[in-house]
Amino acid sequence: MSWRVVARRDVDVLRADRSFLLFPGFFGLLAAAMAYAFTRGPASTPLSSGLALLFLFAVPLTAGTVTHEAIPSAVSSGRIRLALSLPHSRPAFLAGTGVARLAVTVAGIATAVATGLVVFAVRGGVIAPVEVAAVVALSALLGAAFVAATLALTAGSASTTLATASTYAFFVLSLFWPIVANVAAALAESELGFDLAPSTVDALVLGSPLFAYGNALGVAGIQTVSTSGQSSPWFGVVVLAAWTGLGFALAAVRFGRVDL
Amino acid sequence: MAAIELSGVTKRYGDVTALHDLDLEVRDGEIYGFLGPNGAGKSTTIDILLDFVRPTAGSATVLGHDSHADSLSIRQRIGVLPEGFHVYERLTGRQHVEFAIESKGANDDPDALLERVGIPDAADRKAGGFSKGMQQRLALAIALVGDPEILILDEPSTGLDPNGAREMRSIITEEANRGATVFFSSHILEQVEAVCDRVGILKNGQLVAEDTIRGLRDAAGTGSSLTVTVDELSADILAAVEDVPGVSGVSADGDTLTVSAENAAKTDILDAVESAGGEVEDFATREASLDDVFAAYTNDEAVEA
Repeated sequence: MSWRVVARRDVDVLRADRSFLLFPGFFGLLAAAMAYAFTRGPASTPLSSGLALLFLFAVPLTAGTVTHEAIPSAVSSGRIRLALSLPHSRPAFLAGTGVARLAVTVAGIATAVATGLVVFAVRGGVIAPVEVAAVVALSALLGAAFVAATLALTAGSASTTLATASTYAFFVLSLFWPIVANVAAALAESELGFDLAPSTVDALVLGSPLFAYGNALGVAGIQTVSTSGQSSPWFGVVVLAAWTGLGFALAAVRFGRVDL
Repeated sequence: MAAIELSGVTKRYGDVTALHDLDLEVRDGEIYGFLGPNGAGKSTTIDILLDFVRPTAGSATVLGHDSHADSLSIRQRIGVLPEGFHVYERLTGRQHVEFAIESKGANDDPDALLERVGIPDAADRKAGGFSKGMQQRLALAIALVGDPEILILDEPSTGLDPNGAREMRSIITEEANRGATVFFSSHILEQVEAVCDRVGILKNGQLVAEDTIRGLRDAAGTGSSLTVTVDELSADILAAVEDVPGVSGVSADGDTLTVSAENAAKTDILDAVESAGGEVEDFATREASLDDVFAAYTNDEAVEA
């Protein structure tokens, strides 16, 4: 369990640079604002829905931000030479790095939930504990998917600039993926005469981890993604798990080829 | 069994060949100094041993294990002070050493290790504030974790003051006495000379010489020089000295002769001076420094070892 040693060391580093204070702090502030807004009217929105909306943006951005420089910076600075002169495999190093970044993201999620619970309780909002628990679990999975995807994008390079650009470009692409998917479907039909079924386009849209998350929230009874209704919420869960697993696998392959 | 063995190792970076068909063997228990000018390929060789880079051709083994396929088990048994490393700026000295101890599953005392390398007061300080020399000592402490069977040290004296360099030599000797094999690259030749059993000299990615320092001196023809002051230097004396077997060069300055020669020829030179009618007033011998040997092997007109 070499990755645990690396993860513990990285958690120490992230605690020392106050990542465990700053990111959860932002989550807490955003959650407080969200909870206050969502409990203003007579028809209160459930806490789970508010958190789901907050996490849709905050979790991917946090996961990407804390992860994107981890490998390029370690390689370019030479820190990795000290760490990998010790008995850690490259996949174990990568896993430990990812788990520590995921821990920051999960700490943010936990802070937001705690803050939301307090505000909703004080202001008499609707708290559905099971739904909140489901949102937390799915949001953690979303975080894992973005950590893994970010590692996959950045593990083959020592350039922090490239890492930054590719990480935020990936978030933007994920956000506007339905437009890309629908334009691609329309072009396929008009130029190639290839008629894609709506369910196929839906499945293509759900390839974006953001929309997979939105779809998966259906497990908690929260409907945020408008599709033709053919896709089960569990499809979104599977897509997020696939992003996590395949993302990490790709990261391991790319990192394994890097000359340190 | 060789502690370290490279066989036909070639490493290319695009059009640049960093190592060319390199064969190298470091014997179990010896202190092996790895010398070479900048860009000769020393760090690339060490990086291949650590699996930081992969060879284009050839194979490398450490403790009988393939450096790529069995890299983890190798790194479990060796200690490394890599070149071009950087510390974790926000972690303390103790946290660095604890990470190494935990990584190796060792039971060393981090404070004792920091004390051994001369930075006991740095245990609770963040490593970002360390000088280069302190960082180097910290990396040495990490390398010493778990009593490694082999110490691989890449330019260990970088950033160290003379006291630090002496302490480093002392630790290297202690580790060798414990039974560890030490493989280290350095450009500080007097340090290599002080501790190494054997030396390999790398030039343009090829091993141009490998022997004891004495053996290298003899092979390079830089064995020693003899300075002889006579009462009155004559052409006969000069000719007599030039005729002595083993003499490779003679120069005169006033009544002083400087003779480059094999060690065994020194007595014959003094006899030749006196036989030619000269009276020896003074003489001194000077052994070639490792600098001379290094220059002889790494200049373009390098000798064949």
